[in-house]
Amino acid sequence: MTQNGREQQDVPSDLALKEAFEAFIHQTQVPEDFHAGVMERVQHQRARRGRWGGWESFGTWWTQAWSPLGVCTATVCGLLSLALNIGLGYYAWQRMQAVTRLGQELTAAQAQVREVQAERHQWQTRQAALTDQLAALQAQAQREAQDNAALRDQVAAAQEQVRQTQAENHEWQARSADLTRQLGALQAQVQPEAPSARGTILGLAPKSVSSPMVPGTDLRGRPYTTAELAQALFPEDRGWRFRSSMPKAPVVLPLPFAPASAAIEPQYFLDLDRLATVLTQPQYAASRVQITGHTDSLEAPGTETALAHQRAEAVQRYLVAHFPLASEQLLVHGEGASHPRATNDTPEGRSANRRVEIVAME
Amino acid sequence: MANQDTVPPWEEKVLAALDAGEIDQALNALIAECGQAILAYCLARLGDDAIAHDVAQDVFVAVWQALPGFRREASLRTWLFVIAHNRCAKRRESLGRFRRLFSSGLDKIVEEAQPDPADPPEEAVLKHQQAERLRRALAKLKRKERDLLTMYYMEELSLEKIAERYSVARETVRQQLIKAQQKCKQLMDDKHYDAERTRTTRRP
Repeated sequence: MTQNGREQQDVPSDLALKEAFEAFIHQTQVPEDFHAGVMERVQHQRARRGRWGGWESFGTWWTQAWSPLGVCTATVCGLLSLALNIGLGYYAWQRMQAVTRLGQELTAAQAQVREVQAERHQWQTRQAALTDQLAALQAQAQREAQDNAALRDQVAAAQEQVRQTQAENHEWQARSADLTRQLGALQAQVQPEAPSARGTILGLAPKSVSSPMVPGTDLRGRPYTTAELAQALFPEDRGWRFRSSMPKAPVVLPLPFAPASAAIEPQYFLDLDRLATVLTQPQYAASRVQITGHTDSLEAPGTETALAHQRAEAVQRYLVAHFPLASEQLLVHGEGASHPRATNDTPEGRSANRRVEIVAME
Repeated sequence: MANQDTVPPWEEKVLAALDAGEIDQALNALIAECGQAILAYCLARLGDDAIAHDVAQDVFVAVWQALPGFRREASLRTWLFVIAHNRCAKRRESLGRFRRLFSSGLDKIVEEAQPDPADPPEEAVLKHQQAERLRRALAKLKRKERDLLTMYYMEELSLEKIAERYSVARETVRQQLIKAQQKCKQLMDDKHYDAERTRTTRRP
């Protein structure tokens, strides 16, 4: 009460004002629907008190005291801000994506460049290797072309030879039958003339080429086969009983020589090859042959033996150089002009005397 | 000033109903007893009949919500006026925003208040005249002065409570209250009142 008393002293409580306020209160008209309005709101509140009753006011607490314009302004500002943020975010995201994409492309391009460089290096290496290989192949092709030409020649010669062989085989069969018939007649008819008849038989070559002075086979001027040559060189292999004890007959090689020359013309290498084919056969590997050179009476008087030796040596040298034949297997002998096959009076006879003969040794 | 020791009978009745769990009954008793005072308080604070009516109803709804949790630390009347004060302050805050934007002021609304149409006896006429003078004077006063006067004369708060509410010194409140009283009385004078009436009646 002391406080009230002091207030009474301090603040002169105005009676007129107090009365006026009381009158104001009493004059205030309470509307008739005031109580009903309050109860209605209470009922409304009661109805709102459900499971989520409190959350409705929570959702709008921040706008309860706002003016409509404020709400509109805030909404517009919020939307603008949202749009701006979304736009900026999208822009930044796009930039980031672009930068990332560029980085990826750069990495990929670098990898590609490295790959291409490695590939180029590899290709260069391969190109160098291929160039070397090409050069080697070209060289080889060149060699093979040469070999091929030689082989083609050989094949052509072999074909020709086969044809000749067939023809001569036929001829030989006919002649052997004829000779067999002659032999039978001669044995029955003239017994003491056997040696001369034997010589005739030994001269297997035709009578026009064969010389009466020197026995043997002259292969010059006519076609012959390898089998024929082998037969001439090693006649016992024919299997004929009456020839097994016969001495070996010389075979005149078809090699013409120029006067005073020991050179072999290249076109006659094929005949030497044919001779080598016979000598390299396995059944004749152990046998030895003698190569004898001859001259005519006019060329190089006094040095015939040397020239004849050179001719025989030329044949031996060719055979040893080109075939697996040993020089011990091929004996060389220079005879000179002491054993002519034809007369030395005519040039044809002298040409026939410039020759090389081969005879198999026992 | 209200005596805190003596509990008025209506308040006992309300508290008894509250103890019985009859919230609606207690609210009815409160409205019947304090409805007019609360409505007058809201009118004095806000100055508009419709708004005061709305706020007063809001106050009682809030009372209904808070009544089960009433802790009886203060009297029911004090508690009721605290709620009314808060509601008025809140509403005036939003109204202030709204009025700054859309409305012209308080005067026009106050002028629309009509005197009691019933034919009153002489004392009633005097009281009506008093009330009308006060209403006009309050409308003329500043908001702070009006608040001080309503708190002091209607809410019947002590100077300490008012100072506490405004977080200022008691002496400040005292001086402001004296000034407000003087100004209010001056505005309620015959001279001012007549001048005001002629001015308002002359206005088309």
